[in-house]
Amino acid sequence: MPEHRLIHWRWRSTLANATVFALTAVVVAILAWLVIDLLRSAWPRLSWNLLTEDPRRAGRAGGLAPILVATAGVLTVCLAVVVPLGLATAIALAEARGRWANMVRASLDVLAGAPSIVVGLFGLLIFGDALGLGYSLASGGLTLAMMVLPVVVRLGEAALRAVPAELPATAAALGLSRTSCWLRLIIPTALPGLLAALALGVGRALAETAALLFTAGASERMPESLADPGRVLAVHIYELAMNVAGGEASAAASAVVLLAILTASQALGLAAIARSRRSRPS
Amino acid sequence: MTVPTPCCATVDGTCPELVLDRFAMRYGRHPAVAAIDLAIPPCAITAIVGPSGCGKSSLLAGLNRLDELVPGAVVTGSVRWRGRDVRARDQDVPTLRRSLALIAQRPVPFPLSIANNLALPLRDHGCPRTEVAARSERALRQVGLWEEVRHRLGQSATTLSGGQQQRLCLARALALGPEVLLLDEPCSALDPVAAGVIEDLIVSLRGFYTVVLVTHDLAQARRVADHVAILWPTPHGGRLVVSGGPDQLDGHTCGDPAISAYLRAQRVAGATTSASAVLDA
Repeated sequence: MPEHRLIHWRWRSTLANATVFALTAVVVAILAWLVIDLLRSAWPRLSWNLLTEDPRRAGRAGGLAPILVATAGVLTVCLAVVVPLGLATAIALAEARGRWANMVRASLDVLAGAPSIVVGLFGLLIFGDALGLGYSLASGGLTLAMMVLPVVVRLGEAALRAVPAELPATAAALGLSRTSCWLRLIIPTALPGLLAALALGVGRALAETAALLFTAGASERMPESLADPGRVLAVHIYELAMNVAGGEASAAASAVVLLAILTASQALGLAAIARSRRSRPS
Repeated sequence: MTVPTPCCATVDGTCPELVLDRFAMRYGRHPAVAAIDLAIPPCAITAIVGPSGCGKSSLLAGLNRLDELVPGAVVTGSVRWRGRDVRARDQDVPTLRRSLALIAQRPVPFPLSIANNLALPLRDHGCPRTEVAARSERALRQVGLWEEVRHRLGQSATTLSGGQQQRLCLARALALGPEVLLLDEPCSALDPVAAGVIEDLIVSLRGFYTVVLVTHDLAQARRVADHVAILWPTPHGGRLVVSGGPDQLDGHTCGDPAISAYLRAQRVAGATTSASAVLDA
């Protein structure tokens, strides 16, 4: 290569590296700005009591205890539906071919992109009214499951399909049963991808507001069962920011707690993925 | 779990024989194998040779019904094993595939430990837990892998070299006590040294198992096989053009200049690049 072209190539390479670095720095800076600004606004309200006390003065004072319980309740209902149903559907779709399977995939894709307010309205009509669950954690959890399920199923299917085709073919060549093949070979191999799908679903569920306003309600009281209404963290932040004068510091503190829970859930997901990768050859 | 005895060890001498009767296969409208009549002798090594696309691997998959995993694959004619059509309605497919074990071209170890690669199929076929370790060890010794892996049975099988992985795959099949071994170009993904080891291993199985070896390397077929069948691609699918002992191939023209040229080219290639030659060097 002539020297002037080599110099030109080096300049272009340096420019490309610098652009990538700058864009990465911008993304990190935005996140850092967000976290620092939130922490600054939330600082006066951050204390251990925030996690243990009931809210007072419409959330301007006190803590988040019933909000956290309601969030955990809704998430539990959601995961209780999504994990078995999502895995089973992902397996069925990974095995299925043909028009019907494609129709199911297309339906899931449409559902995944449906506005949460629409899903919330549907949840209110079906779970709240038709099934008689009213405003409750159960109703909210089931509605949330409807929103999360398509994402988990499609990502789970992709993870299962990413398993090399030689693996089930080899298992079949040895006369292994399909159950053994799925339970001992395919699912363990796809486990990191399945866990990543679930972690993404949990993230979406924790951040959801609109659908839960219609279904779980916005009551600040401590829920005593899944049949009680409750206010999840995202709804609490919305209420404090939009409907409570002087609630900005509490909203920021709640947002910090939500971010911490999200980060912890993602970290747990990553740890589980790493663990499943390490423990596979056993 | 009952363990089939290697065929030549049967007391009454009635070795099972694989008989293909007008066996044909197609994928949708695309023909892969034309109607083939072939008797695969028991306790011997039969090599199926031919250029790429002549339907060798399809034919092999059709013997233990692995074609059923391929969408659109259609088989006509019959394959009789022990006098029964392998596609009979009451044929237990897992048992058939355990007895007619297929080893793929590229080694595919399960993403498990070396020990569990052998234990999983054994347990799935109902082998008592107390026998698993002994049968695994016997199979690993059979393929000459035991000394190499005995101290690291808990390690992932994917950490083994390509040749070791292929021997592990062979051991995994042998542990199940098959009667017929269907080997689909088992050396093609390996370096010459590893290929030589596998070739020697195949030769050592002669007399104990009915071996069907698919290869595109006629020289390899001459080195290891007792019988050779040559498939040739045609618009109607792969067609059987020659079948017999390796010596019978010399000077065979089949009345087709293309086939004669292929046989000649294979002879030249075999004389210069055989795995044994590499090993000797």
